[in-house]
Formats: sequence, C-alpha cells, structure tokens
Amino acid sequence: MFCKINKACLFIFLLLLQFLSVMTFADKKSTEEVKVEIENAAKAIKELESDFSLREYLPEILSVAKNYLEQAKESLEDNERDWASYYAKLSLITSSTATFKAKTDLFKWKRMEEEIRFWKNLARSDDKEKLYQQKIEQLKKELLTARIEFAMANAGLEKSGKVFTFTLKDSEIFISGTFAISDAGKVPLDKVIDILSLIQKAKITIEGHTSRPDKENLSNIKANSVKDYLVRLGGIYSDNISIVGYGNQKPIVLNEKVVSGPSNDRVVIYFEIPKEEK
Amino acid sequence: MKKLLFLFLFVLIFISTQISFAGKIKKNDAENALKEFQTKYELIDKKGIWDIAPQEKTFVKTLLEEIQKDLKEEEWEWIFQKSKTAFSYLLLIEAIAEFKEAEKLYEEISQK
Repeated sequence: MFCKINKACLFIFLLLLQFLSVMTFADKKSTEEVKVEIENAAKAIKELESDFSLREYLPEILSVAKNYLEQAKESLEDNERDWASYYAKLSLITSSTATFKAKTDLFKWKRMEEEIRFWKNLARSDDKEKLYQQKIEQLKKELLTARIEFAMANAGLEKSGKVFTFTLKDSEIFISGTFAISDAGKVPLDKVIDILSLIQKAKITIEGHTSRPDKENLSNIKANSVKDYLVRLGGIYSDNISIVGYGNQKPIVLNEKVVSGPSNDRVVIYFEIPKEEK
Repeated sequence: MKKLLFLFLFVLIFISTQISFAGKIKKNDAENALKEFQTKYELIDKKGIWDIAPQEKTFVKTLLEEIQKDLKEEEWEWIFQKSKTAFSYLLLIEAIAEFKEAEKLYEEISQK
C-alpha cells in the first residue's frame, strides 16, 4: 500500500515538474500575434522597394531587414513564436533604418545637384561680380557673427532669448561716493563697447537701480553716466541708447548686508542684435 | 519490468522537452549583445542626438529598464533579444540624425 502511494506521489511530482518546465520555456506570443508582426515587417520592406523616389538609393542594410524577415518566417514554421516575433521586430526596425538611410542619400545627391546648378549659373552669369560679391557678403556676415559670439563670451554676457544682458554693480564701475566711471569700471564697459561697435544698429537700454528709495533720481543719474561713457569713448550713436531709472522698484536681493554677490545698487545694460546683422 | 519501462519513457520525454524548450542563448552571447548595445548607447549619448527621435528614445529606455530586471533574474535569452532590439533602435536613431542633417544642408543650398 505504502509502495503504491509512494509511486503515485513520484509520478505526480514528475508530472508537475514537466508542466512547470514547459510553462517556463513556453512562448509568450500567440501565433496570430506573430503572424501580424511578420506581415507588418514584410509590408514595410515592400513599401520601401516600391517607393519610386527612393528606389535608386536603397542601402545594403535593407538586405539585413529581409534576412531577419526570413528568419522570422522560419522560426514561426518551427513554432518558435518568441524568436519569430523578435526577428519580425528587428526586420521592421531595420527597414525603418534603411528608409532613413535612403532618404539621407537622396538629400545628399539633391544637395550636390543644387551646388552644381548654383556654380554653373555663376560661371555662365554675365553678372559674375555681383554673385561673387554676394558670396563675400555672406562670408563677412559669418565672420561678424563669429566675432560677436567671441566678444560676448569674453565679456560674460547673459543671454535670455534674443536679449543680451550685462549687469554691473555700482562698486565695480563708479568711483566711491560719486557716479564718475572708475578706472576699474572702464574695463567691463570697454568690453561692452567692443561688442556694440560690431553691432552698429543695436538698440541699447541702460537701467539704473538703487537699494533705497530714490528721491534724488540717482538711478537715472547712474544710467546717464554709463550712457555718456559709451557715447563719448565708445562712439556709440546716442539715439540708439535709452535710459531708465527704476530706483528701488526692482531689487534682486533682499538682504543688502551681504558683502559679496549681487547688489541692488547696479546698472544693467540690455541690447538685442537686429535681424540684418545676424 | 513494465513500471521500469514506463519510468524510462517518462524520463526520456522529460529530457527531450527540456532540450527543445531550453534557451538557445548562452550567458556569453547575451553579455556580448549587451556590451555591443552599451557601447552604441554611450556613443549616441556623446553625440547628443537622443531628442531627434523621441519615440525611439523611449523604446530604448524601456528596453534598458527591462534588461536590468532580466539581468537580476538571469534571463539570458531575453537579455540577448532585448539588447539586439535596442541596438537596432540605436542604429535607427543614428540614421534619423544623419537624415535630418542631410535635409538641413539641402535646404540651406536650395535657399542660395
């Protein structure tokens, strides 16, 4: 009796083991799902091959996509559905890659054709000088942009959208107790002049700010002092500069007792590069 | 004797099932595929072209998360398949970036 029960237990145990092992290694995808994936992969390849505009530029990688598709079909025939799904997915991704590679080549060739057309026109043109002049102007603009960017990086300007900002504390630019520009203050202002001399038509705004209520209109006086320096020494056209005195309406720090760091007693220079100078 | 024969047959069937369903992929294959994917991933990171293909970027990140889970469970077959799939997505992202660059250059010359 005991022997019989023991054998039955062993049989059930083995059966359970068998069931578990089959469940562990069983494919997660159904045959129908995999068939759809294979159809989609085949469709992608077919569409790419039938695209008239891209037919000439089909890359070698397309054959890799086709190979994956074949492997997907074979795996499905062997009832290895997860592998079939995997190969179908790889085929689909690879044919997308092939599409982009073909489009890339198409644009490369079209660009070369455009270049040839441009230079042929230039060679045939009676007005060659004008066309060369255009090229020179374009190169000059590129050089100017590079110089402006270099000068801006050198001066430590902040950029917010199209507007450039340069903030200077009173202690950095004015002689203590006055609003005359100090020797140390000339250094950052000269950097601003370097940039503004490159951008002839820039509209500049100079803001004066104070830390206390501005009954004596000191913020205006400070802004005007900076404007005067830019016009007199920098040769910046006066009409391009506007000044605003905000008093203590726009503080940037709450605790003025801190010695280092930003200060409410400051001058801020704003400007924007006009479109035609970019 | 019959019982012995039955047991022998059972064991035979059990082993054949194990062989047919067992993974084809060894740990080494999976690790190589993962390495290949990681190298490409770092390259794409350096190029800074992720945002050019946001959908593919999401697929790759999801696969990466899944691979990390599979690594804990030592699911070598899944690690292999997912690494290869993610690698294919990275190739696609590179192709999209090249395409965008070619398109931009073409537009620039067309405006001349």
